[in-house]
Amino acid sequence: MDTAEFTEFAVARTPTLFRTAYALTGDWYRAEDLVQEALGRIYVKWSRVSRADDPAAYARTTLVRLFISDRRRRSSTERPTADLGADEQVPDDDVSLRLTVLSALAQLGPIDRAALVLRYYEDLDAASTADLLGTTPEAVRTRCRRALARLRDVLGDNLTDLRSN
Amino acid sequence: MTDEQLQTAIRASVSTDPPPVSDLVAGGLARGRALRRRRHLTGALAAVALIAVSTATATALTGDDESNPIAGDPNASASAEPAGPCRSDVQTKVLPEWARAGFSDPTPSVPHVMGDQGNIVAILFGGTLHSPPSDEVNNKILWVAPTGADPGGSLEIQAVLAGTSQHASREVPGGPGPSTIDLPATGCWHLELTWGEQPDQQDTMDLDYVRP
Repeated sequence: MDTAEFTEFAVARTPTLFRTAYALTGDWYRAEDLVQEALGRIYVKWSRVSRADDPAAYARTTLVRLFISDRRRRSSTERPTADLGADEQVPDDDVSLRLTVLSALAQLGPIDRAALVLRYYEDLDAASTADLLGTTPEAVRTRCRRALARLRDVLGDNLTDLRSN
Repeated sequence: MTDEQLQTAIRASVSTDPPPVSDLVAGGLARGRALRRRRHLTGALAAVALIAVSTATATALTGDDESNPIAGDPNASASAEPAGPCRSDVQTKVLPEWARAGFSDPTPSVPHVMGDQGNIVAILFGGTLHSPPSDEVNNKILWVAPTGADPGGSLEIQAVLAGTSQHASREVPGGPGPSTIDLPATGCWHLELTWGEQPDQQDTMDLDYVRP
């Protein structure tokens, strides 16, 4: 077991994994917990993961599937809140936007949330998203369409100042 | 609000301050080492249990030998885990949505046991599981999981009778699906279920087998 090699991989991937975890959970501390749990699972299988074609993709798959599995175990009444945690340097004019969207995302089911994050934050295509979620590309497109509609309903008319790239 | 605006908003919402990378990596390493230690300990206990079972002449049945009756006293071996209340929680409420495919009723209420991690459900068509098998109702279990097995894979079941070291293993070719699971003794069986390498392709549950 090459711990140094694993550590190098983990240091390189953790920022990206954390942002994905934060998008999925909407909570800084849950994102930290999810990332550490995923890294722990990857460490156990490192000798195999390190030989995979795409260890980064394996890490992302582990993270997302852990999130979905954990959400299924938790109470269906539990709703995470969008919480910036220790964040103290966010540009003020973006705070309400981020909180509103994160809060709306948090109201979706875990798989809907995962599908939107993978498609529109990770920029995965429908086929890659389908592989990760264990479904078909068409099912992913349908799920994303419905999840966006649900997001639109949740956000309502409150969001009037969306910033575009 | 267009889909494109929503998509842009999702991307924008994830911008955060840099996370504490070194702390997260250290935490991940610690969890990985703890997980590895637990698995080594579980493997060592299983090896000791198998030796104890073989010396007590109890038979660990395999998936292609389901008709052999119990040989020896299932309670004679050293305990691999303490006997406690069986966590087999047979629900009769409506199945979760991901488990309803194939049922004509859109909200089927059938006896079922959910995996401890929520990754699989055991639908008990006979309602109650029996050992030895009942002449009237067989031990048919439909396993359903949101994430199926990898191509060519199977659902592997390792069962331990609570309070004993009696083991049994079963395999459902193709992964979660229809099966008949006969186990060699009455009591609470703790099942470890594996149908792939990802976290959501593993689960555990207790199933209670009673006399017909």
